[in-house]
Amino acid sequence: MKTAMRTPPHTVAYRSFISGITLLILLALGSGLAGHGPLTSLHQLVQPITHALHLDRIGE
Amino acid sequence: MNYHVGYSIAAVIACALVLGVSLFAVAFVQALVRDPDLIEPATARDEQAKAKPAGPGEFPLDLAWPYYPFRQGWADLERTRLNVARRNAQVWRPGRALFDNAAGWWIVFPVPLALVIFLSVASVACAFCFLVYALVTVVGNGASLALLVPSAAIMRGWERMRRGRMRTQATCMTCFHVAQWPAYQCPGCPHTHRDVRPGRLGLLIRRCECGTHLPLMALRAAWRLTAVCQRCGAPLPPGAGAVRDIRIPVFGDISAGKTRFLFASLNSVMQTSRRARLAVGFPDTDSRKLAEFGLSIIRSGRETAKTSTNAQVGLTLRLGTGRRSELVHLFDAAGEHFRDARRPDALRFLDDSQGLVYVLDPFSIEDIRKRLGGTALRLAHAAAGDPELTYDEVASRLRDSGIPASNQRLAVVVSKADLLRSAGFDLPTDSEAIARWLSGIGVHNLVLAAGREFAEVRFFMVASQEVAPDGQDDPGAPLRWLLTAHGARLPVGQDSAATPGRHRSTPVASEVAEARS
Repeated sequence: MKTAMRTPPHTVAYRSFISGITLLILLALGSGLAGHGPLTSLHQLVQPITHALHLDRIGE
Repeated sequence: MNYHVGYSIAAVIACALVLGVSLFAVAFVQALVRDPDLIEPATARDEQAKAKPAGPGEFPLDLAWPYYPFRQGWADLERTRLNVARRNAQVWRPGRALFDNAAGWWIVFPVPLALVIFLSVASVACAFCFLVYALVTVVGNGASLALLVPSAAIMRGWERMRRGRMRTQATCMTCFHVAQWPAYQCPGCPHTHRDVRPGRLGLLIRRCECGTHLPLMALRAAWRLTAVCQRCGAPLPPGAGAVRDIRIPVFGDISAGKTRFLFASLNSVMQTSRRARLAVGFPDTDSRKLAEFGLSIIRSGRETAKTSTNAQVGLTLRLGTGRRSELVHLFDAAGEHFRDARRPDALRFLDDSQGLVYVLDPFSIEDIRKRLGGTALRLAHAAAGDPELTYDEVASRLRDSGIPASNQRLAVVVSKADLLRSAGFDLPTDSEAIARWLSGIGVHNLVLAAGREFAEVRFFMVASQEVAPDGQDDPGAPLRWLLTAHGARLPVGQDSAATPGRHRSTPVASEVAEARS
């Protein structure tokens, strides 16, 4: 006779899937702000701030 | 702005962003991995029962893990929100303790402001991460529900339609309860699953509280799980609730020949089925033993013993095999029960019958008794009571129970035809001729009432012995008629009543009136 189980596998699978999607979106947003990845247009939006802080001159 | 200042500010903002993301990560891992709010089956059932209490005849939600988008997804979101709020409160608490009075604030003026900005950036970053997670959860759960709910509704509808078309039900031969579908025993634990339709516990499979996978829908569960009665928990035959289910009670007075008719008709149906290579089996041990005993008596030509008032009153046979088979339940009770048929328990099977067989002993009819001597009546073990009284008792019970007899078919079986013929009676074989003959010998009230109360009535002459090769007096004819009328795929065999037209109420009434005049 089986004992009561803890977290069922489909819950783990769902949580992993949703966590993975969340992580991917956050990574895409972060790298987009830094001027990389698929959302590079975000970098243009924060251009005034990076310019004011002289961050755009790092590496020059 | 001096780039030295700019870099410092950028570094501080980066630290604040890292802190915010870290806060969210800690709260998230704690909510989903380390200390999740796990919605267990019992919790889900209690919540569901509170939100929508089970009505009469309904059962609370089964103990199985609810599908993630229905409940657990929202619980995870709520737990993450609480954790994020708690973590943010924790990082704000030291600063609040240091600068909670105005004096302290002004003495080190720029520091509190810088700290507030730093923590605000961290909190905004944390909140933003949470918002992304919440958005993903809402969209994911919503999309899953948009797929699951209509799919479950379609599958339920399809199963309901199939249930109506095939007349699949689950009959318990222990308590005579008839359910639309049976309950199923979990193979891994003692839990019983009462509703295996697709829904919030799963679409094709569900996971029992113990973790065992169970197939959903009666059509799939019927052959993989052990079916049990919804009311008493007695085991039901495999396929119950997924195959056609036909219930036929046999009733009549004491010594009318009910038990003998039941086994003789079973014997006849088995013979015609065997000729057509249609498998006939008994799905449970009790039915098999009872049938073997009864059939051995019929085949050996021995006398049938009087049915005990405590004897088993039903047997189940399976026509065909597997998913295309049909379960037939035959009920027989001692005639004493029918003397007071309105008693609720012993004749419970009458309430859910689909077709009835009334066995009428011709030797109990006054007109016949007058024509025959005492010796012939003793040899025929004639029933002593008035044949119309038993019929009236059963008809009253059906009426009082609210059972629409007008949806049912009735086979009126005149038993002991061989004895009557040997006593010199010239008996009709046609259903309508038998009705006229019965009316002519004083059973007109029964003929009239039966035609009026039931959807369709046919009359049969049967003999358990000495059945003619042409099928005259074949005891299987009434059973075959009722079974085929309810969709059983029986071969067309000997059928003495195959030729007559249907005996409906209106023509019968007029014919009987003519016969009486």
